[in-house]
Amino acid sequence: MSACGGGQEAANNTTSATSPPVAVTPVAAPTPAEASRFLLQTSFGPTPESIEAVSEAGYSQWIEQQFQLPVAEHLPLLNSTFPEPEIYAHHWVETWWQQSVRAEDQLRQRVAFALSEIFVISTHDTRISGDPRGVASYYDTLLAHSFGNFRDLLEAVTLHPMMGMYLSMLGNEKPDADRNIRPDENFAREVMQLFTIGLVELNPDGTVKLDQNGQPIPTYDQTIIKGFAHVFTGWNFAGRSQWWEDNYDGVSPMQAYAAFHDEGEKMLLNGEVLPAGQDAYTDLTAALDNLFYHDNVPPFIARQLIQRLVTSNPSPAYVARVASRFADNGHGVRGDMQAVIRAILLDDSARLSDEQDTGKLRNPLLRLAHLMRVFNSSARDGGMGHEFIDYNIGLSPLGAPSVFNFYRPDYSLPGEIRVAGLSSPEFQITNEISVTRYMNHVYSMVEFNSLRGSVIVEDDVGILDFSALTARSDDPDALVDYLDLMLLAGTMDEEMRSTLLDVIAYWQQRSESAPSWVMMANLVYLTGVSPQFAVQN
Amino acid sequence: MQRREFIKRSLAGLTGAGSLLATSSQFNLVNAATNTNSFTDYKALVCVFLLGGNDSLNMLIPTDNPGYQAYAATRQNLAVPLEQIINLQSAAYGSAFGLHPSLAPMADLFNSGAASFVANVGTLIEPVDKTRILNGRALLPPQLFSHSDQQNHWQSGIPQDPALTGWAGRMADLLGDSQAALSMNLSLAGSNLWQTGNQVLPFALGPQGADAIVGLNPEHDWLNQNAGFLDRIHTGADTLFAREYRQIVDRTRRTGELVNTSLMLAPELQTLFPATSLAQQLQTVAKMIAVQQHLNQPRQVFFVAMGGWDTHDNQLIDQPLLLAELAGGLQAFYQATEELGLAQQVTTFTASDFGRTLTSNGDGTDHGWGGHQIVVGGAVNGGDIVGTMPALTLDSNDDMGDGRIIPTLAVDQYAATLARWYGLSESQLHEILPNLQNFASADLGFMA
Repeated sequence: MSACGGGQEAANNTTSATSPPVAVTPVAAPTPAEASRFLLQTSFGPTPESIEAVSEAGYSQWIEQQFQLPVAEHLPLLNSTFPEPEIYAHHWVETWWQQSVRAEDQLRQRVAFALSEIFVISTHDTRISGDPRGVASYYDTLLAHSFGNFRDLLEAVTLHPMMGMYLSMLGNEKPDADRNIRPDENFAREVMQLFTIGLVELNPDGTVKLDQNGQPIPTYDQTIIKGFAHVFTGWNFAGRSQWWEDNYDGVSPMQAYAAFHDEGEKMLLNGEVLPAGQDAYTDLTAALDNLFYHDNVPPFIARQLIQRLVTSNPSPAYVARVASRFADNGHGVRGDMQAVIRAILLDDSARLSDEQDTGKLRNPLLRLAHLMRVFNSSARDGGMGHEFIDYNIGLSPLGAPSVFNFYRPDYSLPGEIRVAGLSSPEFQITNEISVTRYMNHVYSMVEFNSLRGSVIVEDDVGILDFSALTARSDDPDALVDYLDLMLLAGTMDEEMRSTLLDVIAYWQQRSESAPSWVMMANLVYLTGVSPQFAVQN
Repeated sequence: MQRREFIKRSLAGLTGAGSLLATSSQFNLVNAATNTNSFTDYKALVCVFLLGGNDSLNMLIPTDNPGYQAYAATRQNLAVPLEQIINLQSAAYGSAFGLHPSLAPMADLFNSGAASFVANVGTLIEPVDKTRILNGRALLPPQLFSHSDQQNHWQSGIPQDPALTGWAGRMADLLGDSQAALSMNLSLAGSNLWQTGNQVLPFALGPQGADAIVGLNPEHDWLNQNAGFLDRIHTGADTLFAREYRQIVDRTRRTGELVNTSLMLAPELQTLFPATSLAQQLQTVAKMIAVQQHLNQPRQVFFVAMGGWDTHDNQLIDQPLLLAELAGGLQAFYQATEELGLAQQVTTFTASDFGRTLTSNGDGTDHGWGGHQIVVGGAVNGGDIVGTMPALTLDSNDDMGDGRIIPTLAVDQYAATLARWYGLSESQLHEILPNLQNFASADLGFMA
């Protein structure tokens, strides 16, 4: 800096004194490649139409437009697509694909998917998989609050009967000393560990706070767990006149039953004690406020949302900027999700390409949805197919093995990533069997293209449409450019480009003996299984 | 169901994947699998991890008069009725303890001398007692009762450090396994901490073994160039994450072929495995054991997992089903090892996040601490209960509060007993389990 001319230094000082230390939004309209990269973070994958929309509106305006779009809910679609009374979890997966891939409100769908990996319920639990409409309703709850306030989201999730069943708050009773029965601690524990504050105290930038001995500081102990466990007593399915009735409602928020709520004092976080004699809802809202206002919530949630949308390794400064927007949206409001989403996506750390940033490995469901969007996947019956995706690739929406999701935010793959002290959550489910099954699923997708219109394909098998590729088949460079822009945000390296051009040349040579679909199928397959496609930078 | 079969059929028909025959080059790959360590015998260790925390206080139950009365008084509506409990005769406890009725196959294994129980094992850094805990003078593992942390402790054995490697991973590191074509650590449950070493990583198998990568099939006319094309694309993948992803894909391509080719040589087992998730995993383990010579693996470590044990509610319905699946799987697997003539060389053991509270939350139990474990195999000193069974009255000296039982044996001691049998020396045991020195015995004596 000392080498700079005095005048320039003065100018710099003036600038830094007057501009806030937050995002600098680029003024120029995004290029198609920049728009495509933005859409990897903000949708289930770019399409020609969405690239054009972002290029025209610019990042900020596009986000505002997305905030205004009506919610494409999943339950109404599930009900209209499958009106029969007896439906199964795969029916919910089918309509999840339909909305995730096709809905206009892509940003909301993408944020809700991110939230579904934090506020986890899972169809691995037969009570959850047994009620697909309840699952869709739970997902709609995430969608409804994706652009609302985190406090409302937390309460809606807490009172949703699917969460009530999954973490057994539903039916949780006040203590009965005679029978050695005390309140269930399941939801009390996980709402703290996984949904709001985590195990240890955090700095505002998401780094772990240490005590004088250099040790992490636990956020709670068993006394606090018990306090919250007593808070969450007295809730059961809505619409019962009595606790013990057996009518079931997997959609309406749970209802309080006064006789089963513990009315004693409850010890909460930060020394707050709820007075005795409060009703179930008063206790619950006070306890959720106690969590919501804990200093950990902004960095804890901010870091995980950044990891789901942008990068596995946000800098502490990036986390701090987003967390500060969570703590106060600029108008004194805490938990404003729109402010949080803007802060994540418009930050320089998200918008500027930085070779030092690891980016993130994309969840295979996101990769498959991306292929389906780019190639207008559709079955003859109008659906998506791929509803047995859990069977095929061992992964499905709201289908994690446990409340700890498919992967932990801090998982670090042994080897170079771990040595560098980096996080790589999605690598926790990346191994020999999962990459094989993913590659084979991509193969089945491209292969079915060959059977377009054929009677051997059933009406509900999703088929990719390669017409945009076929239209460019006379111009190999244009064909590869299209794959580059749509699938790799214009970042294709020279080695990959020359390889794909050779793939085209190879199949052109064999055009007498091989059907024309083979070239397109192999181009999409090789791109779809490439590491370049798997990683979002 | 119809759809799945259709997809499978059409894939097989169009690509020949279903009839993948071992070519001479693939057999060469098998032969190329080299292993630098020099074992002259064969041994396998199989961990069955019960994810969520097994309520083992309802697995091994007192049947003598004061014992059962204490159990029933504490457990109340979750107690198993006395008349349903299966009687056991153990050297250490006579007939004082019996088994949950859903564990009938376990009783057979126990009575035939092929299985034992290890009592009240848990996560510890040093031996503790209630007085020292209440005085705040005990060094306790961090985040007791948290699923993720307690699973990590069971698998890593080093709670005071970040959970980076597991004791089976460090064991494989020590045995020089990083040079082998195929990792000795084989997982039926994906990536896991237990089998991750500083050099060695687990190889993840599917429930049926390793699948072939259809789109790279060298024998299919329309796909036979793809492997070469993908190799070239891989050379361009040069960001850190892309390189790591590429390495996993490349490792899969190399070793998946070796595993597939070898598994095709596995004999048809006569043992019938139940149609449960656990039993199907164990069936694949049995096949991998059957072809260990083809794989050139004189030592194998398997990780198998079973979920659903976090019985916060509906325990009286759910836990019997889980116990039945566990016992059925363990019995079939033991029979398969007998059929292969390898029962003496294969040891299976359970692990779980933690035991559960003695007290009920109405229709389930919450996260506890110490719990009982099962060991099965021809080399197990069978028919016994090893260690000290805890008192089951509330507020006893074994109760940390609400019936969270203070462990009397450490995970480290349990692990060391297994690892010693597997072939580690005394000093190697202390190398992989640094807290072992804090405990009285490094050998619990349940292995021959």
